[in-house]
Amino acid sequence: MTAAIAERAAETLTPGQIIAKYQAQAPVDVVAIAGDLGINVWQMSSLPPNISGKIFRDQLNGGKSGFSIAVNARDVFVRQRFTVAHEIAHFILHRRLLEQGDLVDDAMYRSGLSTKEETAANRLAADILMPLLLIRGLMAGGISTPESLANKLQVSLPAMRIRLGLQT
Amino acid sequence: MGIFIVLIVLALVLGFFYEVELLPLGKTLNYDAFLTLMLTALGVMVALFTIFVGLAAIWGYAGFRDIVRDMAKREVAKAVTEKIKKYPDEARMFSILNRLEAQGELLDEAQNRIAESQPAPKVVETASIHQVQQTQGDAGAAPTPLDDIQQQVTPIEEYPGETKDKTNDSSDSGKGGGNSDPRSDNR
Repeated sequence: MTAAIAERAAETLTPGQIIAKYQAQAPVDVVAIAGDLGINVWQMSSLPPNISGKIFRDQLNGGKSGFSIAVNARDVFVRQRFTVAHEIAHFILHRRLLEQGDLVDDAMYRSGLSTKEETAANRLAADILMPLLLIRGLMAGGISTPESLANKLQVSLPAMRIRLGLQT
Repeated sequence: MGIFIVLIVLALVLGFFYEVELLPLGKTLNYDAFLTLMLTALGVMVALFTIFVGLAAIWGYAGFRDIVRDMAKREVAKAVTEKIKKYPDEARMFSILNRLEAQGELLDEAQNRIAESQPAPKVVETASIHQVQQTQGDAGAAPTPLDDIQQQVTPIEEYPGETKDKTNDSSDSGKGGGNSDPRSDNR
């Protein structure tokens, strides 16, 4: 009964509230965020090396939304995490375009969408993985180098440096 | 313009009395004198009308400009008021602004602290003396072990039914990892 109530409550949360729920501690659990949004996340070793990931309609193994995110199993952990966040961003920002077909992002996070949409997805992915409030908390706790922040939030060092407005 | 019309009508009436010889002025007015009078009057009227048109043009430009400006102001004010109704109220806008400012300050603070901080210490080999390891752990910059990270976040499972590519997967550490060291991208 309690689980059903909790599930119903989760369904009524907005994407922003779902993301915020998982941004209280580092590292941000992107797979759990995707789960709450109704998307299942999988590793795929059959993806070509130049493809980082994709979001696609998956009647068989998809989540409640009917979508799945696949990441390249060969990619390193932090890159897989960014790919998941990037595809979540597409799901939130470009749902209407997703209805027209699957989105496959190459290694440079380019899909069939315009540069503007890809940039927006990258920006939201950075917001998801590296929330400024969490960074502030970590810095207050003594973690103040880009390396240690990147390690704590499980993102790549270049991503963290860009987030902090430093040169990569 | 009204005056002009009245004068025309008056001239026509006078012309009518002249024609029927009922002019009640006590003097005879022949046709030449009447024509001279009418043309003179007409010349004066045209001159006055020209001055009037000139003044009206000057006033009209300034007035028209003011009227258009006032109309545009009214329309823009109305449209802006309608638009503002669709946006968050003042308190919410202030809270958004405050949050943006806080984020800006945070970025400044982060950059300052990074600029002022010492370079990251070089990685030291595992020491046999316990206190040394303890000191390194307290520095806060020590990398988190992969196992700990995997426990903190939901692992990414393999897609059902997929056969794993063994040739390219020699360094794969299993679910959630995808590859050997999560920190390898940090180098």
